[in-house]
Amino acid sequence: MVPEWHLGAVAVPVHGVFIGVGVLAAVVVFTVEARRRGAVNEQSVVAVTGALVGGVIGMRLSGWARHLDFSANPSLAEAWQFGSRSIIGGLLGAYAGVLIAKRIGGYRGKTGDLFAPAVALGIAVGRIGCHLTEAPGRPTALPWGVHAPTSTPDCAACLTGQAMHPSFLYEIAFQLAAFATLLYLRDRFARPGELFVLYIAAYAGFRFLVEFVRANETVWLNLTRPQWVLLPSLVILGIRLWYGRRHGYYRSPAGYQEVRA
Amino acid sequence: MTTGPGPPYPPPAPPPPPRKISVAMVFVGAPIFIVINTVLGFAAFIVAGGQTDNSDAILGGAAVLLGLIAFGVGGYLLTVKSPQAKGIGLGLMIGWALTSLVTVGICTGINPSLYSM
Repeated sequence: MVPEWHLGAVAVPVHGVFIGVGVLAAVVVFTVEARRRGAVNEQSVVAVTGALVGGVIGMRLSGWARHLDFSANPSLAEAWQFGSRSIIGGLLGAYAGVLIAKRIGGYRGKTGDLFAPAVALGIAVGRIGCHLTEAPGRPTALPWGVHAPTSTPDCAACLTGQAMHPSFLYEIAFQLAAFATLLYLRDRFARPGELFVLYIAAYAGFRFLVEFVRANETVWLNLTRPQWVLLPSLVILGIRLWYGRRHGYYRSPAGYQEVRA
Repeated sequence: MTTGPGPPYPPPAPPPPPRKISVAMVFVGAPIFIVINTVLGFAAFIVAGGQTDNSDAILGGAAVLLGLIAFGVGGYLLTVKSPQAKGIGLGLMIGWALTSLVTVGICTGINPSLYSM
């Protein structure tokens, strides 16, 4: 059963409300950041369109690669029908959507730095809905373990009354810290787009670790599906960060100019 | 004694390149889609509520129609030369995506739980 709030005769899905508020928060942050950078232009609008449409489709299709054995995966139609609300699927879809939209529109500028703080705050808000409606995490004896209602879907520890890791609260804390850090760093990198690379790398690393206390099913070598998706991504991102560091992408703008001169 | 003419004025700056997309019209296109979605969605719910056999077909038809408005009409407007038309086209797509995200796909008909009600 989907947890709902009742406003009179209208039943509102709790998870959906927080996803919606998270998206609106991200749109507001993106708009403010675009205005601050003087980037309210055609390219930004095209990128936002690609991100939103790609994000919706990515979320719905994220169940497509559920199994390492591809013959056990659902068809695209089934994946759409039973599509989860995966953050990783949404982010991958949004990233692909931006690339496709910019390619179609013939735009080559970087837009990732506008998205980075917006995505961080949006996920922080959306995860409140996850915490209120999903299995919070794996059982723990730690003093900050939380309990969840027995009606929570796919939650064995909820039925036995065990305390669990508040994994979504861990992620909210990470995203809020990332949001503050990104605001601090936004004018400190010379090369456009690096803020987004840094955020995605940090989130991939955090997400890989937090999966060890999430209630997701492990599929192979005691790792969950998101961890198997993240493992090669972390290698690619690690190489990208190393390359960026070697080429001075993370120096201050003045330092970067000195190197180039 | 008269002074000679000053240095010549520099040539005027070239005009900015013409805009391909009107950003302002994006903020018009998105609300247009949301209004259409609201009207069409309520109409579909009311009609489907009075039916027992083909309510899913009515809701599915409305979902397809909304998709066509966002991506069919929106895509067509992107092929028109007018920057205003392109802006509205993008706005229609953004309206569909925002409505899908904010309502978990229920109002645009892409959430399968809608069809089991």
